Amino acid sequence: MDREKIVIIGSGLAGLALAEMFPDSILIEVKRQPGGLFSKDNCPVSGNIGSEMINKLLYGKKVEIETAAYRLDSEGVWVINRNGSKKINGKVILATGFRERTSVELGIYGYRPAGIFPFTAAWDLVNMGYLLGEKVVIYGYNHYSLSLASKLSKLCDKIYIVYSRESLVHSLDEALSLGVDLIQGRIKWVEGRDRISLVKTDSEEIKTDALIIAEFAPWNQLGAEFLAGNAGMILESPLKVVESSMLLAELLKTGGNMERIRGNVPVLPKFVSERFRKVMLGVGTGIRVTVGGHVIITEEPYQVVEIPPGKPIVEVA
Amino acid sequence: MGKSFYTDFDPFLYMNRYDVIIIGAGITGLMTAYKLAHHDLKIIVVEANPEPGWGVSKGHAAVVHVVQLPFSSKKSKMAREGNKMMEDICRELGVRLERTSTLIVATKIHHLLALPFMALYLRLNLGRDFPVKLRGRRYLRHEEPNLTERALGAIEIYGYGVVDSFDLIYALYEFSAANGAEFLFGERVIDVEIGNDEIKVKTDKDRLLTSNFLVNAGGLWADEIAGLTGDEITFELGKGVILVFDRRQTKRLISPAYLKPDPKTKGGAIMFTVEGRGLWGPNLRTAKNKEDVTVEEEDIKALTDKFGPLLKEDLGISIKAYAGIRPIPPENDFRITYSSRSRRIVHILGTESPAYTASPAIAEKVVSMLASSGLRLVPKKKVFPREPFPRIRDNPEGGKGEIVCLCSMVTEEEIREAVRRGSKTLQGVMFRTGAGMGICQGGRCMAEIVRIIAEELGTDVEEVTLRGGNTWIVRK
Repeated sequence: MDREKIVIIGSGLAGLALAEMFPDSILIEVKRQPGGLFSKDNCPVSGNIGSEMINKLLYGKKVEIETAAYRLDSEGVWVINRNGSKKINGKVILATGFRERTSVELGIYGYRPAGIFPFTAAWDLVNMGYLLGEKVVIYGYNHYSLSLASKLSKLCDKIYIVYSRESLVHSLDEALSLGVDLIQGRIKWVEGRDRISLVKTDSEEIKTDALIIAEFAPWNQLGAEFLAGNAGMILESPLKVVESSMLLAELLKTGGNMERIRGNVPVLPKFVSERFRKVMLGVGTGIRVTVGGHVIITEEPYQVVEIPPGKPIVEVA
Repeated sequence: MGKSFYTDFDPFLYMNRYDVIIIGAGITGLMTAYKLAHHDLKIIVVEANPEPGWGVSKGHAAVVHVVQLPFSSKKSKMAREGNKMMEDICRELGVRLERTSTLIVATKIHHLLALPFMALYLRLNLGRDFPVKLRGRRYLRHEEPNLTERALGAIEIYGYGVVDSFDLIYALYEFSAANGAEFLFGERVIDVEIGNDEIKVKTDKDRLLTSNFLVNAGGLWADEIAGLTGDEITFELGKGVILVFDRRQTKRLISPAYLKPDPKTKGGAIMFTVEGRGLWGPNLRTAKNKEDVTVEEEDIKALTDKFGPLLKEDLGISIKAYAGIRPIPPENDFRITYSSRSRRIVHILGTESPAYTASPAIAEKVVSMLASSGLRLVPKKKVFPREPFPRIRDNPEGGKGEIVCLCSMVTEEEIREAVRRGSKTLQGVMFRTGAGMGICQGGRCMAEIVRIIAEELGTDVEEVTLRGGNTWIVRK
């Protein structure tokens, strides 16, 4: 059994970046095309464009497409494709991206009509060339919703972004310059028997024919130990996705005893060892964070910090 | 009532002459069709929705019940009869049915003290078919590790089940269709005329059907169908919300102990599906109207307050909440009755919970009522089985295919097969395959599913709807 082999689930940005660091790894992709959602993302974050980074990283990579990972065990991962199922032994890293938060989590009540799209479904349909509606409400302001809004801005009569938290990497002006209406608040109610007709926020009513849910949560679908990219922590910047994968790769290469990082601040990787203690913090600029007992104030979104020796705890100060 | 919707002679009319017309393709209508399809009969089922099981049945929580109070009621007796019949039906149709038990859990000392009396009462009424046991703390810790530490004791009632409820609906439909039953979907019955030797039915698509017998299995709309035959019933509309979780939380069904059970409250339970998802509910409230399938904040709060304290912390993530509406007749019991105008018409009224469990017994009763009114039941020489619908998730190591839905592990071939079996909508494919029902809420698979549906139907993606009518998904 080859204990050292790295098996990466998901050939999006995080998975491709990892594969770059582990040339002998196996890269599994469930879709027909590798590249994940960043392959269609043309919205720059401080000059970096996701689709361009995907194209560069894809060069020379071997990806097992149309192959789904469906179960983990202590030795590796079970995958299935048109030829059958098989077990791949090795160290499994899940780079399968985020999920959308559910209506129950978000506190959205009312009817369940047609025209409500989880972001990823909307993203796919728009990239296939379809229109989702004339007056579109996007719930959540972040890199992904802005990138989708920029695609929709030429196609829809009206785009609203309802948000309760601001993006860590994009200013509100960037949405305004696309002609998007920004509404601060939370969506509470959906109206419409057949097609969605109205959403109510805590302060406004918006007539609409499509609602896109762009509030995200990390998604460890198979219960893996090692997580990369949005599967482990929501990251709004393609460059930072790559950087977080680099940190995980360095950690795994350096080795040592892995200790899980605790605390209420999202971090990547999820572990430190006695030999490698760098992690990326999933917070924006100017946040007071206690890192292993030391208080720091972040100077940029997704800052990388070194956790001092001792218990690896990262908490909001 | 329209008086002259048929003319003196209409050749079309005679072509459409049936032994039995069944109005409604929910669980009771389908179960009746299934029973009748074993006999040499010409039958047709008329359903207003685009697919079977989209009315009251859709809100069903997939539990095969045992205890329904009061024990003297028709629904209580028929649920226990139906429970016993369900196993053979599921086996014949290849539908998953997992047997389980229910724990009625006491977390307060005065509830604990009452458990022996409740157990005795249950034993006296349930008899040997459904054993009842008293359970102590140690048993609960060992058998149900996710149950709260505050659980002091419980009554365990055996004989419950969890059924793949949509698969049963579709299996009954497929079996009946394979054995000659005709189905009309997307047509609402708007008039019924009772002649001397035939019954005439008109649909909103101007179709005329005639038959010797008529079964009203209209579910939530059975009151209006009864009105068309000159009979009267008024339903109270009860709304129940069910909360769906991404994982199964318990091995058994869990229900809190009450000292004074209210027959009108469904009580609800912590449940699970054969797919391994957790369910909480339902609650019971008054619906504003038959289309009031809204979920409100107070529904979620009621369910969370009731069931949350029964479990430990790790509850899983709630995927969604949905509402179902139950037709409750004044006597709060099933009413299975001949029409006051003709004994060739049978009404199935008040098909609220536990009608799903009781449906085999209801169908048997309906068939026997039709027989005593003169319907000739000649068993078919050969009955065709339901075509098995293999699912990759049941045996992934032995299967192959491209996975479209990761959460529920559904292949492209399963999506195509669902369309070939008659699902033309996204919702139909989701119900039939389980695709898009997981924690990603269809985020990962919705685009691919509608593309496959369109390809299989030979139409454009923008023609595919969520559930028919004006429920369009995308435009070009």
